[in-house]
Amino acid sequence: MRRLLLLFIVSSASLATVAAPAFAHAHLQSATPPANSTLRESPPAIEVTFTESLEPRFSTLTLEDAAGRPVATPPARVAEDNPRKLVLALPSLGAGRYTVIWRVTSIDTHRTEGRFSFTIAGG
Amino acid sequence: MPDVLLLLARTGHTAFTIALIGLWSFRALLAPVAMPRFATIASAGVPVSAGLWLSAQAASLTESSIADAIAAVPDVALHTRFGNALLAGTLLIAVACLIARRAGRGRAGLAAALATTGLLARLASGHAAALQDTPLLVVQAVHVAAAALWLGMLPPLWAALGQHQGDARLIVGRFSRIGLGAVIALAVTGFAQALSLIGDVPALLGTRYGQVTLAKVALFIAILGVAVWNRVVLTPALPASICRLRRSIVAETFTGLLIVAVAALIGMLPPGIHIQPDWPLPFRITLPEPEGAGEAEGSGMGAAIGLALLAVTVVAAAVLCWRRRVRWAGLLAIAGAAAAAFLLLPPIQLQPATQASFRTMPEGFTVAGILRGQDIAAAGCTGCDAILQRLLDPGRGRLTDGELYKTIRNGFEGIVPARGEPLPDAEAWDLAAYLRTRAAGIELDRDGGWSGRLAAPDMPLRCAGELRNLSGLRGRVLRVAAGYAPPVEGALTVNLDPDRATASECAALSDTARRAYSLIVNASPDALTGYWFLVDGNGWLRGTGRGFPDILTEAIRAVAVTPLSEERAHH
Repeated sequence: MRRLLLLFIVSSASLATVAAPAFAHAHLQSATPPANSTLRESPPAIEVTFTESLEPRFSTLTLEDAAGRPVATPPARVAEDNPRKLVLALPSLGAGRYTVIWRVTSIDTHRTEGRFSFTIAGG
Repeated sequence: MPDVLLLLARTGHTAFTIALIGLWSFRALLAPVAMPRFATIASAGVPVSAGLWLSAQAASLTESSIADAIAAVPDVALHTRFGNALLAGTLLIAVACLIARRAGRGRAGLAAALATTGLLARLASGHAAALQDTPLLVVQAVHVAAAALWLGMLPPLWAALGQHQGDARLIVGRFSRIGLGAVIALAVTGFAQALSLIGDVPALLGTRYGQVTLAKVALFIAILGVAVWNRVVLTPALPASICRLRRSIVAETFTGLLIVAVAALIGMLPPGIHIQPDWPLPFRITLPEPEGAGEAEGSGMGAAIGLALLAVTVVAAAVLCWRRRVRWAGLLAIAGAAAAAFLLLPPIQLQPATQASFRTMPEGFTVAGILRGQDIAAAGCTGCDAILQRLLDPGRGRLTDGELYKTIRNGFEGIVPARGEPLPDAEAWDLAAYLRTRAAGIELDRDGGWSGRLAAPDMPLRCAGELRNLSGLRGRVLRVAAGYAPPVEGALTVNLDPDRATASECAALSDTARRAYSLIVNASPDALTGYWFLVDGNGWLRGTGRGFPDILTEAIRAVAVTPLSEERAHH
């Protein structure tokens, strides 16, 4: 009985040691505008769809310009018709390169984060 | 540290709940059994582990220490799906505890049903719910309920064999029937979950999720072995074997507890279908290069039937074993394995593989990636010609995207890398996208067709005023066209020229799309006018040509009813 208990504790400990590096995997499914795309004009919003439904309280989407300065926007919200989609309404953006930074938590409590860029060619 | 606490809390909460479900189910279905201390510990363990779980989860979500995360606990408990599900489930179990305080089979049954509902409530914040996959949710519910019933009944079975030695054979006989049903349900639902959340062999062997699942399968086989030993050897020898049987049940219980811990770990890992796998073997198994895609589909079907046959054989053999028809079980296992091997083995061959073999382009196969790759190649690529020649030699086996990336970056199969210094990851993938497209164009010129599947390069579009991606139009047949392209029946037209689309159709956002698609047919961007590309509902390029041939509508109809199967796509 004691041996069995010891075996269980040792096995459980080995499980615990592999648990740590389990997070930080990209779950992004699609984005509009797409990563690394070049647009002629400012899009009205950024829409990022993930592979799983999101927790609104723990999911954010922010935008930075080419110099790394945050672009003032209203907070991102989860789309009413799609719990997997985050929408960030945009002001009219000038020409330049922009970086979208996302940090989201899906309803199964997985946290993921990442970034992608797009360019507005202007003119 | 919060992750270890999270694992402990998840395991504890599940184990305590299962213990209560099993105890009450045993009383309702099999025999009265007295385990007051066990029941008290399990009843107290449920809310304690729930509190620990909430704290550890809050720490994980806010990326802070447990102490700092306490302030976030109410927010996590009340405003997340996880918190709501855990609170609701724990509340149901608490009500069940109150009901079960008085004796009676009916009360025990009701308490077991409530506690099972409480356990299943947690699935509302599981992988299946997050993926909005209702059939998978049902499968998981059956799996969890069957596991709770079987594993949870082991401690009361151990106690009952001590308290009712005269009825041991009767009690064990009844338990065996329930156990057999639970084992079959667990095997079937476990297989179905693996198909949905792991999807393929590379994810099974090459992701943490798949590897931990394999460990769980090994433990399941071990506990099944103990159960069969109990049933076939120890039960017929009752009552003389009662001490050995009780020891064996203890071993079975601890193995079951370990399975619960592994299942808790699996619940913390992102599903294998969402992860780029690291292939662990120096070779991979492939089907022979097919003449047409349809043959590959057929071979895949044979393999699927073989695997299904194998699964059915294993379950049937287990049932026969359980019913003490060991010889028949052995014969069936041999016959099933032979038939499955016949269906599985003939078409396979081995090909060299690398850790990256089953990785896919992180950003997908896109116009932007192809053009960046073209620029990288133009800036200097000493190895590109050799890599291109390799791509144009399908007789050596088709390189996967991951192998192409590996070749470009570090060299593979004796081919030197693209440059002396390994390219950065993103650039290597871009060059892979370009070389894949370039090879397709040369192959089309040389052979009049493509030897392997080629996806339609993804690009941003404007469709009736809305921003979309080409990949967002899956499910419909597309006719990607350059220049004048009047509507065609059965397909949505996507014009490569931004200003060409009619109000109801789509057009590329940028004229760079024309440059990437011209590579597919080995033409200059200006000469692409008049070309069309047919794309099936799963995003595969199925044909290309110029002008408006009579067969275009017929080809669209054919492509609509025979889309090539989807391939693994990472996110």
